[in-house]
Formats: sequence, C-alpha cells, structure tokens
Amino acid sequence: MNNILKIANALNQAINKVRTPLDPLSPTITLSCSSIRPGLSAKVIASNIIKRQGEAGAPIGDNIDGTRNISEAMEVIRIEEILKALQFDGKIEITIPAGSIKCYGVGESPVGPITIEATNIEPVSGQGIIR
Amino acid sequence: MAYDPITANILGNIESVRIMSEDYPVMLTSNSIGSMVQTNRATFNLMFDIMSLIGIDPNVIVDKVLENISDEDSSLLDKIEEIFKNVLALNLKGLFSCSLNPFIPDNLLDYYLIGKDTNNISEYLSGEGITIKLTDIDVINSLKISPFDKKIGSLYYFDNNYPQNEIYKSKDFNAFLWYVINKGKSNQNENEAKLLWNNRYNKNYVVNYIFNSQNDYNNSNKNDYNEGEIVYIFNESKYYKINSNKELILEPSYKNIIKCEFLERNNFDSNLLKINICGSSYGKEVEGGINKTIFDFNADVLNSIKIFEKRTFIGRLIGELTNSLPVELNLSIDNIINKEKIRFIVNKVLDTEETTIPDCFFEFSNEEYDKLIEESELKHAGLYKQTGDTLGAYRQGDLEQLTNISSENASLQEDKIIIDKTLYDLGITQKNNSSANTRVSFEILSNFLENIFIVLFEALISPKIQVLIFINHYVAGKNTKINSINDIIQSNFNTIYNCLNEFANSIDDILFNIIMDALTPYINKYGKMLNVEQLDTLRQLLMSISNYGTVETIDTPINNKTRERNTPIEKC
Repeated sequence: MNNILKIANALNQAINKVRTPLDPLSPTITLSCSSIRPGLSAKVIASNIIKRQGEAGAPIGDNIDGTRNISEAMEVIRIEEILKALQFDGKIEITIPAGSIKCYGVGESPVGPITIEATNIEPVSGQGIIR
Repeated sequence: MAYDPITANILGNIESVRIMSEDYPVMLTSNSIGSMVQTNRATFNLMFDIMSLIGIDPNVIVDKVLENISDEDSSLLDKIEEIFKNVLALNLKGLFSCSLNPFIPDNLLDYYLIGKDTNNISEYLSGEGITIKLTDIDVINSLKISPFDKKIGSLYYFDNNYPQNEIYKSKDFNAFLWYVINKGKSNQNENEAKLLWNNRYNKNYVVNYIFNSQNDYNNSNKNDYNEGEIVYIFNESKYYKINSNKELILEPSYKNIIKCEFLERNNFDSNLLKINICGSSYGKEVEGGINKTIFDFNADVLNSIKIFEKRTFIGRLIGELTNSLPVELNLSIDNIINKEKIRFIVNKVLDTEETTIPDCFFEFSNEEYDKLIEESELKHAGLYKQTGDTLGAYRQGDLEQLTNISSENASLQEDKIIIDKTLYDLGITQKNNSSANTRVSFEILSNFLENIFIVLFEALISPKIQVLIFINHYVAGKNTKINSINDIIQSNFNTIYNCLNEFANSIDDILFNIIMDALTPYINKYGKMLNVEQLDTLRQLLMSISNYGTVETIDTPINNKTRERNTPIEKC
C-alpha cells in the first residue's frame, strides 16, 4: 500500500512551496527604520495581545465567577519568557557578502608604505541568522 | 492564596525537565479527527479526514471512482487486469523449479499422438485429464447462478445474451463452464465441440453452426445460412466463413485450449469437473516430439479470459452494498461466513503497510470471529450495516435496477443516471451535505471502497482463475487438496495481494488528485496572503519613517493661546 508518510510529505510540500525566501530590505530602509525603533517590551506585547483577545472570543477581565483570569496572567509570563530568551540567550550571526563593502581611502606618504584611512561610502546589508 | 515563589520555582523546574525529557503522560486528544487517534495507518482514513477538513463532497469521490472504473478507453479495471495476469503468470512460473519438468504430460491432453499404424495413419490415445471438485474452484458458489437469471445473471456473467443451448459460445469462461455443468454431454459427437474453450475473446466472431463434416454442410439447406456466418467443421477442427455463394472459406482457426466435461450431477457439493488440455494445440506434432510447456498454456489461457468486466463489476458492487446478492442467491449461513472471511481479510490487507503478509492474516481471534458470525447472521436475515449501528434492509427493487446497469444495451450515460439514483437511495451519496453529516458520509464512503475490494477479490478467486491454478499445481506435483476457503485464499494470496495493492495505489492516486484539486485554490490564496503580508510589512516600515517626528494636535483655545504667546511681541 502507499506509505502514509509519502502522501503526507507530498501534501506538506505542496503547502510549503508557497513560502518563498524573503526579499532583503534595502540598506537605506534598514538604517532608517532601525534608528527610530523603541525596542522590544514584554509588557507592551502582552498588553496588545490582551487588548485583542476579544476578537477571538476569549473572555476579557475576571471570570464570571469572580476569579482571576489566569489566561491573561499566563500571557504575560509567556511573552516575558519568550522575550527574555531572545534578548539574553539569542545570538544573531551576520555575514557580509564578499565584495559588498566599497571603500574610499585617502592617504599619503613619502617614499614607503602608504597608510590609508578608508570608510565605506555606501550602507551595506548582511545576512543573519538568529540562534 | 499564599504563594511561595521559591517552592513554586523548583517544582516548576523539575516538572519542566520531566516533560522535556519525554517522560510526559500520554495526552488524550479531544480531537474528533479519527486518523489522529487510531493506531492503524491506512491511507484511506487519512485521505477521508483531509477531505472532510477541506469540505470535499463525498459524491465527488464516488463519481470519480466509478468514472475511472467505467472509462471506455482506459479503465482502471483493464490496468489492474493486466497487472494481475502478469503477476499470476510469474507466480505460476515460480512453481516450477529447475528440477521440475514443465512440459505438459500426455495424460493431461485430450488426445495425444502415440505413433503411426501399419497404414501410416497417426494413432492417438485420450488422456485421463484432471478431475476437480467444483467446490474447490468455486468457493462462493457463483456457478450455481444461471446466466439467464433475469435478476442476477448479468451480475455474474457477461456476454450472456444467447439462447439457452448456445451459451457455450459466450466469451465469459464462467458462462461456458455453467453450460458444461448444466447441459453436459447427451450426444457424444454433436456436443464435444461445445465443451472446448478457445481463444474466442480476442476474436470478433462467434460460431453460428457446427457440422461433423463439410459433406453434412453441403447436404443441408443452404438457404438457412447467411453470408458472413461462421461454421465449425468438427472432424477437421477448423472454422469456415460462409461467402456470398454459400461456400465455405477457411478462417484462421481458433486455438482450442481446454476441454471440460461434467462427471457427476448428484448434488452440487460432490460434482466433479474433468479438464483436459487440448492435444491439437499443445500435443507433440510428430512421433518422438515433445508437448508444449505449461507456460505456453498459461499464456494462452490468460489471453483468452476476461477477469474484470466493467458492467458486471459495478452491478456486483452495488449488489454488495445493498446486501441484495446473498438474499437473492439464498446463500446458506456457511457461504455467507466465507464471504465475511474474505471481507475481514481484505480489511486487514487495507489496514497494513507491511510488505510481506504474516500468517496471522488468515487466522481470526475470538473477538474477530464473534464479530464475523454476528455480521453474517445479520446478512443472512437480509440486513446490512450502513454506518455505525444503523442497519439497512434489502429492498426488492434494488436488484432490478442493477440488471439495467449490467445490460449491454444501456449506454454508459444511462448507467450513470441509474447508478447515481441507486447510490442516493442507499444513502451513499447525499444531495444536501451538511457538515454534521460529513463524517457519516465518509464512513459510508469507506464502506463503498471496501466493497470494491471485496468484488475485486471475488473476481480473483473465481473459477476462471482457479481452474488454471489447479492445472499448474497438478503439473508441478503440488498438493491440490482444498479443505476450506482459507486454503484457497492462502495459496493464492501473494498474487491477489499484489493485485489489491496495485488497485489500492490507484485509488490513492484518484483520492490524492481530488484532494490536490480542492486544496490548490486554498494554497494559492495562502501564497497571495503571504505576499500581501510582506508588502504590508514594508509599507508599515516606510510609513513609520515618514510619520516619525510628526505630532498631531487638536485645535483648542489653549493651543491657540500657546501659539499666540509664541508669536513675536510687537513693540509699541
């Protein structure tokens, strides 16, 4: 008989095929956006979730019997832990492709080795992976 | 409630380690999706669950399967038949190891050459042949049914539209065998030709008249005959076509393959069939020569028979679904138990992913046997399980509808209307499918597919195949004693399993294509939504840059005053 795994794999592949690699952002946008960002806040994220939970029909506020809404408390804990892991355990490893940094150097010397001070003249993007 | 953070912390830590190291308790799912909780890994159950998740109408599946079976040009049944014949031929060849003689023995031939007499004329002796008990080759007693039975004849035989005494001309080997069993030999010379099975299936014409010699034909009233009709001259074993001048023109011969004779007629259980292989086709042609091999014989037999015929297949399928066949056939409880054993074994095969079949497939536990007996008794009473605990009852009108399906005069378009109506009446297809009924519909669909396999299985153990297997076992010197249906299934199982496997794969392909057709719009929409999400993220990023530093104010007197204070004060 056809292996159940074969069928499941074929269907999974058909669904996963639509997730194409992300187009990289231009360095200009990255620089501009990153400089104005306020940073991650567990409290802000948790409060946004709690704010929207009514959309899914989840109860907002205390339960009908007057007891505390445990799911809201769990939401805060959940987000705090996720963010803690990202901020204190997470590591982003970036690689800058060869040849992507164009430098302009100015230097002078009498006869002998030249010392150059160079700076990149254009912003450069690298590719990173978070671990 | 008091809460000690230190205690809670360490207990929580230990619990998390325990869970992470895979020692968590078995989690019972409250999910209603069956294939997530059941232990067998049958692909059909998974596909049905996917289809009910997506919301595919079970009617579509029934339509698609029947369409594939009844397609004129490339029917699923034709493909399966080809595979089965190849597998069977290989398996039969496997009976003969290097040390076994594959040449057909003389005593199996109807006539074999022993030499020439003093006048240089060939002398022949007749062989004993092989005698077979009818019950050994026909475990489900299908040969009891007459091809002329108005209700069910067309469900078990095809090409049965002949007058009673001429059914031997049928292209269906089972119909030919029925003639042999029921009409037998009354006149030695006249009827012997009617007991010969040949390669008629691939020929386009059938024999209209039989004469002992050309003289008999010439002496008869030729006005009775028409141009194009076929005459068989018995003493020459040759076929002739009548031309416009009523003369006989030699036609390419049929190749005679098997000769069948019926030996006893006391009661069905002890009836014997005597089979000979035709010496004219397989015997030695010269003194000192050799007979043909059993492999030549097998190839000719397999080319001359049709195992799956579309109309009878579909008719039998619906007969099985309605349980009308056991009632009409007046099957005994033992026969019904045999059929149920087949059903149980087929279910075990469908539920397994093993490539070799263990012996336990042919044994039943006490619980399984109890269930088998219970279902047999229900069927004997004319009831059948539709779904869950719902019982359906056999209705008189069901079979009359089926006869129309199996009639060769109906077009396939008319067939479709009848099949649709029958399936609707049975509750297999429903017009207004609500989601509450979907799970039920898929259970019924599962029953539908299971019955397809039952009909397939029965066709594979029908007399036309068993005769061939018996002859091979006899020539190979193997034991041909059959004690029960288990023996017949077990000895043929590898062959049948390969065929069922192939059919199941084909059904998987059909179901998979249906799923992909229905899933494709969802996947396309999902892909578009992901693209939109990315673009929206980019848009929001750009908006955040452009909105940075912008302060919205409202137009209030306080603000106005603030603005006034900021304007330069004019010196007076």
